[in-house]
Order: sequence, then structure tokens, then C-alpha cells
Amino acid sequence: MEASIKALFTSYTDDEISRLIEYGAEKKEQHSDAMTRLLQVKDKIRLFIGIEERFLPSVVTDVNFVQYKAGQTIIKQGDTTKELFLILRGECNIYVGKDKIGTVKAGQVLGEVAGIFNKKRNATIIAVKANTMALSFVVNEANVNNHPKQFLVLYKNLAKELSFKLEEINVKYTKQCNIQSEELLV
Amino acid sequence: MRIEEEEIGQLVEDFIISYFEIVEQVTGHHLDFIEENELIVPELDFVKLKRFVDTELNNLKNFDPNIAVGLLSKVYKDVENLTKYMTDFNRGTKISGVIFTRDFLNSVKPYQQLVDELTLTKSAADRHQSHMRQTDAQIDAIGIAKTPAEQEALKNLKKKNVDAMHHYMENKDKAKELQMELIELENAMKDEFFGQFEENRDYYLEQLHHIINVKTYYIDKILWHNAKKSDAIHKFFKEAQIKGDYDMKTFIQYYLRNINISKTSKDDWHSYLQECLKSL
Repeated sequence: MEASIKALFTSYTDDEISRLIEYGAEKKEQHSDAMTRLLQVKDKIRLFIGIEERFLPSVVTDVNFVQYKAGQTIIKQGDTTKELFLILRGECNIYVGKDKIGTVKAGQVLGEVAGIFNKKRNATIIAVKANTMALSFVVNEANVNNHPKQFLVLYKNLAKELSFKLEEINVKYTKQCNIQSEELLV
Repeated sequence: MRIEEEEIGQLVEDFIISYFEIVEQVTGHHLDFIEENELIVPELDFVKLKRFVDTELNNLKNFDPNIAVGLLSKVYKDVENLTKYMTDFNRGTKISGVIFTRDFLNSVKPYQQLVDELTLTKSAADRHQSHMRQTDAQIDAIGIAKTPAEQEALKNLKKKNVDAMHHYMENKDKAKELQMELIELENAMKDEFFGQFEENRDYYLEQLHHIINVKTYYIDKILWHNAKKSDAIHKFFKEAQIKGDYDMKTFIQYYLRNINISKTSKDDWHSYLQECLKSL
């Protein structure tokens, strides 16, 4: 093996490894509680399926578990915030202006359009039930080039989420208008 | 086509395995190390922050050169080697078109046989064309045959000329067919090759980035661990009125407080450091 290649296989003694682990142990506390919890439940969240666990902290940032009272605003129409919300518990209503246009339940994602496409919030989301719980996070776009594959998976999952929503809207619209789904433009 | 589709897939796969063999060994070695010892994957991008880690290291080394020896020096060298390797790997694999032509096609025997056959056929066509021109010139030189000997010579030359023209056309047509076959084969292999090549390239770049990220994070950790135990660094912190823990966060704050941003053109870098403070 060439010397330059050999230099790439540095090995560490047991003592050195113990010291590395010891120094790094301080970092364990650096994972925010929210991120640690997120990593624990990652596989149950549709949005993060396929993203390697070790890369998740690089893909999403500012992770927080937030609890809302009934009637509390989660997202305000017109705002320029970038968080995405995954509803973990409870229920929320969606309003455009003063009109209620839908409901979001646990397991669904909110705010992906503004969060990904840097647009103003196009609806207001208000918690309906007491103790509504959401996981908020920001897509860490600064890392797109470092983890292109992980972001590809995330964006595909987001696209699926959006397509589920479109499907729901179509079904609702079909029922309201009593028309056949084939007549809809999708 | 001389190679079946499945065979093309296999040829490309074999080449890719062999081409990425070293990077597979390198990344495998380090990923095993990281996973076996459950090393921490930082939330921040320490590949990007390496620049600041170097700033910290150089500053602190001025006060106490001993903090940069031993394990720190070893991990630092490890990261330097890996970073150079990643840069070379990135640069070397960017020219996938050249790798396809120079390395891959050269390794495919049926393709090379086709190239050889085409070269021989073109050369035969050239030879017959030259013979044809030669006999054309000889026929022109005789002009109108007056004597029986001249008539016989002219007859022989015309026969040779027709034969040469026949062989020339035959080889020219064959060369055209071979050329088309070659292009068809190249295109069939191209699709398979670039798909697999780019996928592997991206995968290994991502793994290398991950490894360097983790190890650079540990450089920072060891650095501050050593700094915490150094009297000279304690003195420096006291004199510079640096308050806070002995860690990157404190040093970023100190750095941002003490540099004259208006005199530098690193606004993006400073904003990035400010952003990092939120996660530290």
C-alpha cells in the first residue's frame, strides 16, 4: 500500500480512544433534549423515514417540543418564520383570513411551504385542544451540499406529505361539489 | 450489440467496485471506528468550522505550545490527511467523462476488440484507396493503348483498379457499421456507468464529510480539554477578560468581540459564527 494511503488508516490506542470518549461525553448534553427525543422517535415520523439517524442533526436544526393551549396561535398568516411543525398530540384549525379551511391532526406536518420555499405563511394555524403538542424544527439548508442524499430523502418525504394534503383537499372538494374525482384537475 | 445488457451492468459494477475500492476501505475503517466507539456526531458542521478550530488552535498555541501535542496532534494530522484525501477524491472523480473514456472503456475487452477491428478496417480501406489511386495514375499514364502489350497492361491495371475500389468500398462500409456499433455500445454503457458512478461518488463524499466532521469536533474537544488544564491559557483568559467556559462558544464570542468587522471582508463568515453560537 502506498505511504499516502497508509496514512489514512490512523489507528488509536485503547488509552487514546478512552480519552476521546471521555472528552466527547460532554457533548452528549449538547444534543438538545428535543433532538434526543426526536432521534428516539425518528422512525415513527413519516417525514424522517429514510434519513440516516446520524445525519438527522445536520438536516434539521432548532428542534423544539412546544405545547399549546386551546386557542393559541401556532402560525400566523403573513409571517415570515421558517419553522415546520409536526403535530404530535391534539388538533389544530387552519384559517385563511377568517375562514376556516381545514383541520390538522396528530402525525401531520404544517408550514412546509413557507419553511422550504421561503414564502410568507399562507394560513393561520390555531390549536383547538388543550395540551396540543408539536415538534418544531427548521430545515438546515446550509447543509444541503454536505448531505445531498439525506436532503433528497427529506424533500421527497415532504413532497409526499404535500401530495397527501392535495389528495385530502380533492376528496373534500369532490364531496362538497358532488362531482366525480375524474373531473378534477390534479 | 456484442454485449448483452446484463453483461454491461456487470462490467460497470465490477469497474465501480474496483475504482472505489480504496475509498471504501478508508471510509469503512473510520466509520467502524466512529460507530464502535460511539463517537459523537456534532449538530454543527465542523468541516466548515475547521477554519475556526484552526484559529482557536493557533491562538492558544501562542500562549501554550504544549496544548497542541500528543492526542490532539495525532487527530489533527488524521483530519488533515482525510481532508486532503477528500479534496483529491472530489477533484479526481469530478471528471467522470474522462474516467469513462480513459479508464472504463479501456478495461472493457469486447469494446477494445471493436476498436481494434475498426482501426484495422479503416487502415485496410486506406490501403485499398491508395492502391486505387495508384492504378488510376498508371491507367492515366498509359492513356490510349496502342500495342497489344499496352492493351494487356491496361486490362490488368483496370482489373486491379476495380478490385481495389471494391475492397475500398467494402472496408469503408464495414468501418461505418463498426463505428455505429461502437457508438451504440458506448451509449449503452454510458447510461449505466454515469448513474452508478455519480451515486457512488456522492455516497463516499458524504461519508468522508461525516468522518471529518466527527473528528474535527474531537480536535476542538481535546483542544479545550488541554486548554482547561493550562496555566498559561488561564492567564490569557484572565488578562483578556474572557468570561465563560473554556470552549468554542466562549472563544467565538471573544473573537467576534475583538475583530474589527468593518476592516475585514468576511461578513458571511461572521454571520455564520453568530449562527453557530445559537447551537453551542
